[in-house]
Amino acid sequence: MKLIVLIAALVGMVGCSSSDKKVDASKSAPVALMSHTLSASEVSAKYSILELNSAANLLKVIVDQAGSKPSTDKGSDLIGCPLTGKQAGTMTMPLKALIDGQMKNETDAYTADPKNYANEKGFETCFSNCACGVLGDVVDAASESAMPAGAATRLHSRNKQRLSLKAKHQTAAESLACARKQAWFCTSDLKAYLEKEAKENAAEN
Amino acid sequence: MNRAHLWAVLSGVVALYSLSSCTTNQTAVIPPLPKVEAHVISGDMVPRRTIASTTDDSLLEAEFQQILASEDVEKETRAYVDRIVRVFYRTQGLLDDYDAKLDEISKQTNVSETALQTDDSYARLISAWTVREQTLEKIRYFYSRALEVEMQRGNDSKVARELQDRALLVNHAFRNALLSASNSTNRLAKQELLESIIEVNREFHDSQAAQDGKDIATSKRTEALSRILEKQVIRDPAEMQKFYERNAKQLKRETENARKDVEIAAEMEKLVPDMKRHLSEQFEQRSPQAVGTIKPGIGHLGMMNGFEFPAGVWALTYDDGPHPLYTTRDLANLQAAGIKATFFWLANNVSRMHSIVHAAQEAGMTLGNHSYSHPQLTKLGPAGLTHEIDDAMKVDIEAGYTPKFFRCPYGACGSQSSLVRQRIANLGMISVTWNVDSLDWQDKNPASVYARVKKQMAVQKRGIILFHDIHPQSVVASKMLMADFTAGQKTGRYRTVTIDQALKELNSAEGMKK
Repeated sequence: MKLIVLIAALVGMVGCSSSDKKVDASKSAPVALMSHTLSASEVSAKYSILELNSAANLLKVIVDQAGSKPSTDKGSDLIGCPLTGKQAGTMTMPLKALIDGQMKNETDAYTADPKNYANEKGFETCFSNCACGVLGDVVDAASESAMPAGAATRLHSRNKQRLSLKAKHQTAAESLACARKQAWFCTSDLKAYLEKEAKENAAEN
Repeated sequence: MNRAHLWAVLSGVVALYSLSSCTTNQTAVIPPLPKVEAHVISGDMVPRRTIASTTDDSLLEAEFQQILASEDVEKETRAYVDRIVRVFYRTQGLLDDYDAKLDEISKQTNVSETALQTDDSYARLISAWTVREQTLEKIRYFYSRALEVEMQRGNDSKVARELQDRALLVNHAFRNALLSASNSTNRLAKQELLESIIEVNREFHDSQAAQDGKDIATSKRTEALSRILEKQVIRDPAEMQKFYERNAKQLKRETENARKDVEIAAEMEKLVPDMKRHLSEQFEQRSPQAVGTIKPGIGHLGMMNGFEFPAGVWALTYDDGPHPLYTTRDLANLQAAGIKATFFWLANNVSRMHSIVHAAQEAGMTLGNHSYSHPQLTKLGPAGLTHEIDDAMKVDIEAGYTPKFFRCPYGACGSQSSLVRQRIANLGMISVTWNVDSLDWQDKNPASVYARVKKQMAVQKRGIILFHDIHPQSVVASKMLMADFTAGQKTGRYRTVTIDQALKELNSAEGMKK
């Protein structure tokens, strides 16, 4: 424990002792960031729920990859832009807000035409982009009574079961494989938005 | 004397012999140094730094140039290295000393890690460490600069030749001072110092190779020095332990000397106040317990995040319910395990599920407010906040409980000046966040959710765990965790608390204990 405490303190100390130059740099960064960062509605319009889900899966994998000690949380270079477990963790919440924000529209679209929605979103191949979970949430939230009569109900029931089963059995290796495909996230407006939100929302501010 | 000792002695003799012969040769090739006034050598004449360094300190460069320009270069170098080596060794003694003291404090009072951080010994430990690191950097800087000046080529001016001669003398004195120091019993404390010099030599060779040229004489000397130092470095932990045991008395004596060392004390006194302030700031951010009573407010004392708990104490929390199916299952599992948890529910759901509210209350769970409909509160204006916080509270009261705790949806409470935090405090509630996130909304695999929580628990050691009582995977994963808690409570490894219980204990005179 002593070693951990010491290392943690030393890390903090280094940040403290070399304060001047670093503080200047960090002060200028948010200004540049703010001027180019999209708003929540713009981000939501730009990224689909599947893209948001892919980013969420990526952040989850990075959180899971973080070292067993805070001092070893050096950052994952999974997709070419290092993010620490802590950074990824703070970005998951504003990302969840974006996903939740799209959920109603998605559920409405599914309710209106379950078959078409399933084809469009790729229910059958959802495991390939680790989307079975989020699509399962869309389907779960749908109201059967609002759906077109007849076959839709049977289809809905089957969708629910299949998506739930696939999502439940998604392995860590599959999550990792999906995460590796998300290099786009590094330079995306989504990342910039999440970083800004994470900073603003942090209760410790 | 066993075989290992014999080899060590023989190696030492061989090393000393090699050194003395090397020294003699060097002395022989050094041209007679003209008497030069100190002001003749100015900073403009000294070649710039090329070997990699972790610092670019003008003070270190000034010290180096002062010695390079001094009348008796060898004597000044020797004195400089001796002083640095002494400080380096003695700060190691102080580190061991404070480390042992912290151990004692920890055993005697069973204090938490955060409390340990505010102890004076801790600030002194870090200060001693800092002095030691600065010393290491000084010696690295001095030696690498002397090498650079010694090997400079392409400039045959009188001043350049004088500089090279002086640098050669500096290095000659440096090697002698370092080697005589490293042959003492103090050498164990100087492991890093020796390795650092070997590293500088390596960098020197790399930089020469990169420049496509080689100063043969300098190269040979640095290689010889590296070989000798390499033998001094003890790499086997068992051998190191033996060394400690063999020299315990002397090491203890040297630690005593370290405590009395005026120079180190002066260096440390400069650092300790900053270190204490820094630790105190960290402590204030992390642990409300240490700085006062936790109560509704917009500052750090108005919120709980789990870092303030003692190691081994955990609060299980569930958000977004109540859910007719999954909350009921969670409640049943908690009751079966004899664990009490905290639920942060949405008023929208509470208004429709009074029976679950009553069941949770009867089971002794703590119930908190999680807004009316789970929006991102920081995006709302005053009217929106009234509905999401004030109206939600009214719904909770109607359902039979007055929430003392509030958890912001998406953890977004905003800064201390935010309307959200002001509103929460005005209604007499404390904000509660978490330090272990199950990410159960992003993961439908219960085993994977459980593994994630366990991994984060291993890192955090104590705290508040976030689940959502609206997902089937969360029911299974948290049940798996409950089994660990039940077993851990029997052995004293874990203790579970509700947030209300944690608040009472943290604010009590005795404080919170494991």
